[in-house]
Amino acid sequence: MATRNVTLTNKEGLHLRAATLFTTHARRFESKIDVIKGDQRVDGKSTPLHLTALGAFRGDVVTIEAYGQSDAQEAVDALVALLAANFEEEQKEN
Amino acid sequence: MKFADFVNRGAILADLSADDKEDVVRKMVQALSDCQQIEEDEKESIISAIMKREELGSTGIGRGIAVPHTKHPSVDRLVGTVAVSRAGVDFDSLDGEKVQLFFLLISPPDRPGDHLRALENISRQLRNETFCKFLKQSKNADDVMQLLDESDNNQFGS
Repeated sequence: MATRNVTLTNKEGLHLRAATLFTTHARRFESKIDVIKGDQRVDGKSTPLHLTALGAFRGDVVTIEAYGQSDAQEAVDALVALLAANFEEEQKEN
Repeated sequence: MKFADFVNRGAILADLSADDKEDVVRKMVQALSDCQQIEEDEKESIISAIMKREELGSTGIGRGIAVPHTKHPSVDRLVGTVAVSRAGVDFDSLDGEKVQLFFLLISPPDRPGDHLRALENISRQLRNETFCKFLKQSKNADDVMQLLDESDNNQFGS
């Protein structure tokens, strides 16, 4: 199992676009991928609605956890990088 | 943030028929203008902003649901509406399916929290399949409003 925390540093937190990018990318991996915030745990490969339903705002920490297959670490690293890149892009737009 | 806090009853379109994505957006924005929730002069600018956001990635997130939205300086608080299309409209969705439920949001640029809270609320409620099913079967604006109210009062148990 691989797990990493992400602190949402961007203004908009885990909004629809980030959530959509996340789930689309997560589906490329074989591992099960969960996103956790507090006591909420949702399927990161399912509809982006699950992620936006977490209500993850700026400053919140979410945990990405992948397990079950050999690409777990790769998945977590890629998804953390994806979110970081997305947030960086937003900084530029703003 | 409940549906009642940002969905304007008068702007609900319960029997939408539209040709394509832009047509949906136009009609929903027009409905908001007709109810004085947005300024008529700002209509085109708003529609354009929403369509631009769609270019970044469709807000048709699957399961027959779409959440077109934008920030816009002409609004000073979150403004939203709901439309239901029985037949469905092609929205370039993630799952390739047509969309029947549209939640349109326009938020002030300096309050990302409000927008996200509304999105959080919409997302939580829409995870409930029963709620979605009933919404898609709504016959008129009163039906839709009643369902939104019931959902706000947690009667769908999500």
